[in-house]
Amino acid sequence: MIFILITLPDHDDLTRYASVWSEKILLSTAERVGIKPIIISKGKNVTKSQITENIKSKNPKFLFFNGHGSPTSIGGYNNEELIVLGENDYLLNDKIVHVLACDAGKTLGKECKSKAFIGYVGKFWLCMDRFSLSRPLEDKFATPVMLSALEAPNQLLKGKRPKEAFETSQKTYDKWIDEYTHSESKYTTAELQLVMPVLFINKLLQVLHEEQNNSAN
Amino acid sequence: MTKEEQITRDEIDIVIARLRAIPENALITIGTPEGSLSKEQLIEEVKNLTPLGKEIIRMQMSYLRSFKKS
Repeated sequence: MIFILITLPDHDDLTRYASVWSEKILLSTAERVGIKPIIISKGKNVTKSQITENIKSKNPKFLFFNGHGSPTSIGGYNNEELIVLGENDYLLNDKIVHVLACDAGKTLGKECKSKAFIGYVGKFWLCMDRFSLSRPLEDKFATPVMLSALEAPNQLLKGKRPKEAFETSQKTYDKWIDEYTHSESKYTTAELQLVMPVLFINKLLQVLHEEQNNSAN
Repeated sequence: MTKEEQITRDEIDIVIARLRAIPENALITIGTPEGSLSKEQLIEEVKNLTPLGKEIIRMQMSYLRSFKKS
């Protein structure tokens, strides 16, 4: 039985958007491909103690974190540190990990012993429409960013290898960049000025660490 | 800050000009304590060279430099 753990904190705009979009994309894919059960840690329940208990008791194969991060940690609700390098990063051992958060791909992703780790080696940028804040799934500025980023865990759920999942996510960033820049683009110059740098920088900073983390592979 | 990372007056002006061109209803966040910032707030961060303002400048300049490389 394959378990998946997804964290869905929602204490600010960035975490709320990442969580709402993750629920829509990842949970529906998991259901479609018949992966159950899923452990969802949501809102105030995204705590270190709950995550630790869930990982230890259920031994999920996939860990999908949404939140804030640092080079050496992944945060949960109200930025409580869930995983800290050198303290409890053993919880990532042999897991396939996706982290939608700033910076965690830098040191934690490189040094932990996960089977694979997809994350970001710098800030994860999100642009939004102030008139869509209450309806993240309808936010036209956030849509290309969230769809590109979440394509990685989405592909993992579909059974793709981490390398394929990472590359498909990178291609999705490219697809949206093309969408904004081709000659018959429906987007305004103002929209292009906003969304393009965000897509570009997120694509540039997205990384995959694998193999070297796990000499047994 | 190394020489390569020093931010020039020209870069500040370029980034402010670019931010002035984004939609009025746009917000940007990277999950810092400043939260989601409006166009005017982003411009203020850049003008005042706050840590977030410097991050915005580095991000925008990295994007612009990619055209030079390609």
